Amino acid sequence: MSSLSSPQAPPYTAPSASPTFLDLARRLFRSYAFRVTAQGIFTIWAVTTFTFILIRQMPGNPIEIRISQIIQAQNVTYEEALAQAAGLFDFDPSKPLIEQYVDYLGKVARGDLGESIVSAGTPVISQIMRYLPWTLFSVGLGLLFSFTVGILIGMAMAYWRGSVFDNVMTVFASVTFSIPNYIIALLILLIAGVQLQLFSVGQLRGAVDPSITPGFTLEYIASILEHAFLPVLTYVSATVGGWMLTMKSSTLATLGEEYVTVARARGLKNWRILTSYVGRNAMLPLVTQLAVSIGFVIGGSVIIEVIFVYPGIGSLLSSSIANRDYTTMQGVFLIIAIAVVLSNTLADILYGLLDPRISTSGER
Amino acid sequence: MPLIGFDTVASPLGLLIGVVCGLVPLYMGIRLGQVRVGIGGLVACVLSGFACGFIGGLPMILLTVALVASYARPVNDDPYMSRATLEQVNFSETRGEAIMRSLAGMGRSLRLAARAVLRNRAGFIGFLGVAFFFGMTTFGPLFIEYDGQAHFYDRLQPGAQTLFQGPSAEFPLGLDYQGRDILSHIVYGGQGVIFTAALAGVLTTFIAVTFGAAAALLGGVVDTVLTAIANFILTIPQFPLLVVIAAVINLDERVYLALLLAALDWPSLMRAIRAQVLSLRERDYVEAAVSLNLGLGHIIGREVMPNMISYIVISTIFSIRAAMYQQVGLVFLGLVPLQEPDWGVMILLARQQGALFLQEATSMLLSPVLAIALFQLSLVLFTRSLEEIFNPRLREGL
Amino acid sequence: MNHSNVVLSVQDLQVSYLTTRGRMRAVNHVSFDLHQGETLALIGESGCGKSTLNLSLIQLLPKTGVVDGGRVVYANRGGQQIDILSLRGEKLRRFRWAECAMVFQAALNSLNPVIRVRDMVLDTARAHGNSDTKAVTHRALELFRMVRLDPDRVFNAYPHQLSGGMRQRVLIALSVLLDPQVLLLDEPTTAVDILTQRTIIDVLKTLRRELGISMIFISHDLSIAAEMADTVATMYAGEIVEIGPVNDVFYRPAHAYTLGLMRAVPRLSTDREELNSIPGSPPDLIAPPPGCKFHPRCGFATDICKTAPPPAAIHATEDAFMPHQFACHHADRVMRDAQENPAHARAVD
Repeated sequence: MSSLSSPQAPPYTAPSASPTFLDLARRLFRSYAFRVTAQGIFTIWAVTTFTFILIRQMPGNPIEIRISQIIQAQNVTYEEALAQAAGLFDFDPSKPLIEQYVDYLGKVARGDLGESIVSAGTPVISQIMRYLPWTLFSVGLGLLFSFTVGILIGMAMAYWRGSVFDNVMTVFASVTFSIPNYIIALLILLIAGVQLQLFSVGQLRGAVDPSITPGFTLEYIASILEHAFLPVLTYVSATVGGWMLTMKSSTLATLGEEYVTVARARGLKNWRILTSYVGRNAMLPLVTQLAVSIGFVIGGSVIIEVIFVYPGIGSLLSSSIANRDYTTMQGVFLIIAIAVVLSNTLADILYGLLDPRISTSGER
Repeated sequence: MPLIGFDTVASPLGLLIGVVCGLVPLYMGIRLGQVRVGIGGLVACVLSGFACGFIGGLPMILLTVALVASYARPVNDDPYMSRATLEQVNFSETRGEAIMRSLAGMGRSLRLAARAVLRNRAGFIGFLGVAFFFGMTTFGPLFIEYDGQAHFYDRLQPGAQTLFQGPSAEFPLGLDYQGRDILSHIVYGGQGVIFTAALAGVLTTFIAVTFGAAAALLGGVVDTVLTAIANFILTIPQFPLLVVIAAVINLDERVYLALLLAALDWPSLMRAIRAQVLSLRERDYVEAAVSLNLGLGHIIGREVMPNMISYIVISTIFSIRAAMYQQVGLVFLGLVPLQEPDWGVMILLARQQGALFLQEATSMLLSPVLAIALFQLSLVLFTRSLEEIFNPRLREGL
Repeated sequence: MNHSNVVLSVQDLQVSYLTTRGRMRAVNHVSFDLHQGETLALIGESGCGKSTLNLSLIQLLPKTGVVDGGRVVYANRGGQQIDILSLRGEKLRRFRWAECAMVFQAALNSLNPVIRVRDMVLDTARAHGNSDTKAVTHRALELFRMVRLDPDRVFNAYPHQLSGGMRQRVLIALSVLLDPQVLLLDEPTTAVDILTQRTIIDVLKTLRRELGISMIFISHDLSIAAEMADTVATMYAGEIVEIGPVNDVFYRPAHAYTLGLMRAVPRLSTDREELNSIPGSPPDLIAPPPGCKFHPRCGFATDICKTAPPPAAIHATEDAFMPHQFACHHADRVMRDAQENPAHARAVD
């Protein structure tokens, strides 16, 4: 029986032997990863522009504030103060706005975010580079852990729905999900640190114990983990409940899908059904949510890092605001926004990998 | 802004507003022969007017009149929903009749909702929690005096390093760093927090519903522009953006703070509303209404809104929750110069005064923290009941 | 068809669903034999227990479904008798698909959307102890060809890249991958267009011819049932009310319900024919009516139908092994009516 006898099968055309450059370009353009990346780049540009406008057009213009500060402190003329301030903010006020904007974009693209107002001479970017890794480390670890644990527990809740385990976990998840993350952080500090004295609040400040020499030693890594423990615990407690509840309902919906019944009819092993059939499909909506969650957790890290005195980008943002260090503030905000956009893009690409309906839609 | 909000809390003026508002359901109740419901409406209006002035009184008029109408007209007799033949249905109702019918429908939904609240255990606990906090912040001041002055000498315990005190019989929640009664700060400090969050939540919903419905129904350029703006705001991490804006502009008025929160919070809800309206527009009964040329007002008011109202209410509650999170967060970072009493300011001051190191100071930090945690928990639990009303699959047997 | 070989024997099977309102008896004292190579068509309205019967044969009932009694005996190729309902765990898993496979409605998404057809094929084989990728691939490609699919294109595709009819044929090919003796088909042609329906019927006939497979075939479409089946069973309210060779049941129906079903089929051939649908709807299975469960909707019903359940009766047929059985108080009147108005009864032509 020939394959051509099928009345439904669309005519099958083999791909031409040598794809032209145009074909390749078209395929690239249509590919999901490309679309997602392009979107990410566009958003970063938009955020950069937004910060440019924010810093210049806001009422209580930070440059004017800085100028009056300089005039007061150094007793110089307005023009001199303006020149100093312009140097800090990395723009030349005598140029037209559009040129300033192009300059600014060019500098940002080269990673030049100006100099800190407070500690003069320190480039903002180097300061950010000192703080950013700790935030990425703690937030990443926290999210990874809570996502994994939440998915596993959520699936277990769906499989054993109505059991004591399910009920206890539902209550736990509802409570932790409802309470703001900084409230959880404060509760951890108050109950475990102040009342029960499980740890010394003062000693856990910072990212590592300063007395330990940095290096790839067990002691150093243990210190890093010890200091990151409380922020990570907070991120996990604040988000794991949400993952659990979403995964539970998503798994319940997937369990009702016909292909799961068919998989059982096919005599597949339970483990295989659990992973490839139920788990993978039930996870899809959660991956989309992961993107939203990343932004939320990084945003929330501003307060969490202040509470735990953890030297991440959030506490840098907070201290730069407290010190009226507008250039640092502008740079940190930009970096946070870019980090969130990048993580969103990653989550989108991950989603494309998990759901072929998204990534292969161009082939249809 | 006199007369419209918390200014009239528990004042004779609020009572007067409540009585005036309550006369409306009472009159309707007497006219429609539902005197008992009318009296209930009067009581509800008096209480809510007493609590929140016109903000409480005016919506309560609507709700109670709707309840009265639903008792007077227990059967749904919407001509457009009727299963009778065309000849039997009376389409030529007057405007007054149509309003009465809508009110009765609304009242019936309210009663269903009340039943759902009572049935769902978690939801009922949440409802009680929300009611407790509203009651405490509005009527609490009638019973407890605000303790705003520092007590540097009269409350200093002999031998104590600070004025902080743990809970005692006289001061159930202890004393703060100036020796002031923490309980009074909790009672008085909730009003502003809840008011700001509620205002921001309602504004968020208002913007989101307006923009979402406009984008979905008007389409074209409006849709493209609104969706693009929403997507853009969504990609910027909300809290850092708030922090930066709060650092640049001075947010010393609660209304401005609420406006700012709403201005950044609407996009996700707007997208959800837009999607819902789009999908509703495709439904048969909406298409039928369109082809019958029943007018945009009818289509939105009678066909689209009833299917979304619970969703909108739930979203409002989640917006209130988010607004409270952001508001207290900003205060905690010292970016919003709000006045005492305020739960957020309490947390800020407690932390600045070393509550994390002194055991006897724990209460000053723990009290507002627990108040916020419990209020938020109550809000989320309360939405369970609302979800039950919203989700037809959960509504079986109603 | 080989009459000496019964592959599947259902004996007095009873299945219920536990609902909040009470116990709902969805399959009630059902008995029949399925012979090797035989195709049995189950006809009847929705909610008559056809799908429940099928699902219970491989223990795939939803959690609320319980088997209250009866036996399902399966004879494997070695002649060994297996009580399917007593299979548990690993034994049940190995039995499914290898001995008895199932094809579901085309409208439902029976294929996992996130994995390729290739992986579904290999998964299935591997679950039953065959990890020889090359041999399995070879067999699968052959089967895809047999169900008239382009093997190379389909094998590496994701389900969403295939049309509804193609997906249904993939599932059919997958169902015979392990060479089962029995194939359960639950409305395999529902929700596909008429041309695809034709293809699927032809494909099933080919499979039956080439693999000698036995089938239990659920269909709403009486003409397809007539075309595919050797034996037809009419189900009503969880019971088989009539069963017999296809010609006997369709040309000489003895149960008022079977006759009603056939009269409800619209036809193109006859002009100005009135469509006689059966009034009312199937009974509530939690509290079914007494006597004959069909009597509230039956034009032939008399007082006896309201009190006494009809006894089983048998007519001899040309086929000595396959009698025509039915349970109707007024079988004589029904048959006479069918003879007098043959136009109605020829629904299946």
